[in-house]
Amino acid sequence: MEMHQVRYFLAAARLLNFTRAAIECNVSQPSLTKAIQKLEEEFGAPLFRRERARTHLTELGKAMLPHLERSFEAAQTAKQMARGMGRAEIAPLSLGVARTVEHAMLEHVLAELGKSLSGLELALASGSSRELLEMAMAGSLDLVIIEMPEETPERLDCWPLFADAWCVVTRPDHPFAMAPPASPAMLEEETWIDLAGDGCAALARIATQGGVAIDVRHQAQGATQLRQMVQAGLGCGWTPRSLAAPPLSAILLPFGSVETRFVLASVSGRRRSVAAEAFLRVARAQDWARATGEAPAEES
Amino acid sequence: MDSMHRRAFPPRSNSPYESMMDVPTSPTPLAPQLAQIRQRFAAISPFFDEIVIALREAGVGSSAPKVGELFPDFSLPTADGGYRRLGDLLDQGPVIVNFSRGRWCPYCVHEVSAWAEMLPELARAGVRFVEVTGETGGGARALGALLGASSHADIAEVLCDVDHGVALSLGLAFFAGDPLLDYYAKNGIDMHDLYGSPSGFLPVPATFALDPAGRVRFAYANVDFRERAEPAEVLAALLAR
Repeated sequence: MEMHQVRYFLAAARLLNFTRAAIECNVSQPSLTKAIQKLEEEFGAPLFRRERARTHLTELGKAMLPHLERSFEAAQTAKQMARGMGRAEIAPLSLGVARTVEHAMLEHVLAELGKSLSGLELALASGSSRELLEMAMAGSLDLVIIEMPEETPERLDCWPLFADAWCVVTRPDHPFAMAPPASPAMLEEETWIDLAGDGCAALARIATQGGVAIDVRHQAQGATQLRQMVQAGLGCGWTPRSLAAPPLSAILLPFGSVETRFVLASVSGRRRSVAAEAFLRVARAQDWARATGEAPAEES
Repeated sequence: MDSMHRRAFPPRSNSPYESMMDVPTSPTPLAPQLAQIRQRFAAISPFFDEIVIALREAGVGSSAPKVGELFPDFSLPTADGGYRRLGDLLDQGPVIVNFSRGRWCPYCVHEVSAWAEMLPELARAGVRFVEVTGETGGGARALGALLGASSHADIAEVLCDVDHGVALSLGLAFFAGDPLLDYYAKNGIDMHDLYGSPSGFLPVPATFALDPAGRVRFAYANVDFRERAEPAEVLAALLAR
């Protein structure tokens, strides 16, 4: 397939009218029709169904639309990034990062993006995965790095980045740090600090299965805050393991394991800024699992 | 799959004369290696042949840049989290740009290994090598390890063409089609996982040698993924004046 074929296809798919698509693409209608026919030959079946006055996408056309859109955008981004945006050109990126995410790769990728895009204007938002997802759906965030939603909205594209196991975070002198809690009953005697904004939901579920209830009393707005609260002796935290930095201890529960898959997500079909497109692609190119909780290692 | 990753280095000679005379090490030709893989997959050959003929008839890859043309500039993610612009590399000298499908493909693995063997010679000639793959999630880094990019970091690099955007702009991206995709799926190759997308798009394997002005001196694009440009010939074409 070729760029102009895809461009004509995208215009025709949006306008559902070959005549208007041809005008928009500044070509004759026969040229546009011929280019789309070439594309249909390659896909082995029609992408459009043309009935008298109406033009529809076929099932294949509908299925291929997001992929062709994405490859077309990738081509544009590669070109725009090469042109090097002038200093005057602002490249906004609004990125939501869940409170439960702390990843050296994220800092590294943002630092590198700043070097390649001199006009980068980064707006970072923090919150619970649910809040950030809502903001993305509402259009106030380009991209979000969040816990994989249990139910993925239809309009959301998700790319898996890495997985992390949840653990209890304590002071190093806490009894749990000497010996992990042997039974759910021991969770009941503790005071808990919530970070994810869900009231330690997964921990509460484990407790309930063990016939006990937990006391979630405090709430932290960020990983640093949570660590300070734990260090201050206000209670234990419940977080992904990558957030439990020394001197704090991370304890996996012997009677219940919880793993979260973190994803990079974006609302499909919405136009994104060059910076958002560039971040999306460089982030997807990396191996986040390899670098979980560590600085991106130098090549050996 | 394991044997596909094994690299066939020429036996290292201990003769002191060799280093004294500074004879350039002659790299293992790629074509016989590819022929061997082809042999191993002989049973499936007619199936591949049919697909290749259909792609060729559809003109896939035929609009890729030709010798004498200016190669369009691009900037792509690197294996270590940044962006690299082709133009910045050309500012430092000639560049060979190689598009392959990725580390799941035995032909690509052998091709990249053959280029790995050529890196010392490229370094001597002041030629840079850029491998382009669409594989996401660390695919570029894995291919970089195969290429031995870290030991020639100044001249070799793997870039990640996420969603095959640059391949598309060069006329090298195509829809693989259900028969081929089904075949790969049955053989445990998860395209969605490898490319971070269920699109079923693949790049036509291609090799371009560019002079510092970005003009194409050697061009190769072949929908028959079982054949590749011979690295020594690519370099020779680039250095010929």
